[in-house]
Amino acid sequence: MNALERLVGNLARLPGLGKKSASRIAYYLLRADETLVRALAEDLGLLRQTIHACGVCGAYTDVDPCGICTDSHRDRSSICVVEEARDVLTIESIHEHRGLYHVLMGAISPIDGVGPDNLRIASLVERVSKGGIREVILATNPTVEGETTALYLVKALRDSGVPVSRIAFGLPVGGDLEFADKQTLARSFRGRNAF
Amino acid sequence: MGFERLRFFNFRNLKDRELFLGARQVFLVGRNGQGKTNLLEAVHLLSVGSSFREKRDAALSRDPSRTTGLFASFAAGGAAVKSLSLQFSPDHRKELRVDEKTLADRRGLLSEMLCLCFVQQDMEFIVGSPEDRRRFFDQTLVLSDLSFLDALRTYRQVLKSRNLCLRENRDDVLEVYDGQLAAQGLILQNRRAELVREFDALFGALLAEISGAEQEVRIRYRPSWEGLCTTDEVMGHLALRRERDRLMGATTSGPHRDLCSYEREGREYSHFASTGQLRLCALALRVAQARYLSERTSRKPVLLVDDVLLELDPGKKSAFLARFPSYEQAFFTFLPDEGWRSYRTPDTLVLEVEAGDFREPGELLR
Ligand SMILES: [Zn+2]
Repeated sequence: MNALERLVGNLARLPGLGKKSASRIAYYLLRADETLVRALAEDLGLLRQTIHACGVCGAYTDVDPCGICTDSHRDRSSICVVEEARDVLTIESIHEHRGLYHVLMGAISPIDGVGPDNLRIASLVERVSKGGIREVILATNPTVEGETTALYLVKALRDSGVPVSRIAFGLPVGGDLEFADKQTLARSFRGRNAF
Repeated sequence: MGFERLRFFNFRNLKDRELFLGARQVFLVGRNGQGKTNLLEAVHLLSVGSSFREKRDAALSRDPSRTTGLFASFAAGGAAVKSLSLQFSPDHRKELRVDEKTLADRRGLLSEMLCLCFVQQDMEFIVGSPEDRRRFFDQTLVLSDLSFLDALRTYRQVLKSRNLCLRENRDDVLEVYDGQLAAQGLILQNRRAELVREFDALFGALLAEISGAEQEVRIRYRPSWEGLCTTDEVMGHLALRRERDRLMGATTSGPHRDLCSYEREGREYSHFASTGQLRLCALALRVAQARYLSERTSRKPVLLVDDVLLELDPGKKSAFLARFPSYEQAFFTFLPDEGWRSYRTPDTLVLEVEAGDFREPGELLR
């Protein structure tokens, strides 16, 4: 196998790409601008070395704490809780949340062997209990796992006395934050319900 | 118009080929074991995504080491023609497509069409296990409103997780599942209760008409959470039963334990009714279902009627046919000497079925 064939094979293993789109990308790169190809190769190489989870919120970052956690213009009294680091980008894209984030790194799912202890729940409770937080917004997915996690968090955060709300999903049950359109998500975010 | 064309390969005993249907009624005439019911099954699979008699997809392939395919063109009312396809590969993968678009699951198929069958297995709705009996009502609810399917799936997922937590002593999460089980379970319970209430009257009247009076058979729904109406009440109930559930390693109450029975004068009908009477019950249930769903969804069903007329005496047969629900298209199976000629209309296609192949009777003469 030559480099082109290997590249097509590896690209096809990425989520959302089939053999067809993988080869389209590979052939495009073959004739693309040299700087683009070099930048891509360099970033791919640096990805694992430089990008880590933020020690505070869990979002991916090259500085620790991340840019959002250290941004003095953000509302430090509000935390939005999401399942995955990529959900931070999704919520950011709708420009409804000016506060901070907390990434759980998954959702409760006993069938997959994921319990509360396997998630970043203890660090969330600690952050909220330290004081200065006036609202926790739960933006876990509208799935059984996401709902279970949200309900568990309500219980876990009860002692802190901090108001907890859940974003109001008009999204299809079983959906994923990632795949919701921006308008729907923005509406869900604004229409969040207090527990 | 319904199904216009049907093509299949490696399916049951049917010879690989394409059939042109394009008639409001399709009569499949042949001796037993020639493939009549297999064709109905193919239509059912393309309409609903599952068989009415076989749970394992693998059993549908003639040669399990090869892919099985079913294809059809379908048009309901004045709507555009849709192409349907269903393929099972030897590695147990199943692919459903409507107009070349792959469906994630059969939910998408159910919104395309309404297909109901009258088959021998329907008796299980009346005499079968509690699960068999619930299936009829759940099926009706799903077909009248797909959101019931979502509720059913969510309930099952929560139930499975809760059972796992019981076995693994994860008490911290158990309470969360109790709340979800209660909320989802009450949705199922309320919808079933409402349906049985509506169905009881519809079914009772139909059965009396078809059977020629006397029978007064009532449907009774006994929810496992009988008398519990709010999430809090159900959660209280679950808390009380938690230790028992833990010992069993499973949730011992809830809609997955609901009972449905058919009763006459307060007695379980299946305990004393004759096979013929039970068969009539099943017919009345299906007629009631077709009427109910036609009204609810404003869609005419495709009906699959397998060997049902054969068992009826002439009086009941004409009473049944007089109440036969309106349909988009209907498939009937007949034995060669069953007098099917008298049921023909100008819009009837007759196909003779022999050794898995089909031909129009005229071809015999050629
Ligand atoms: Zn951070």
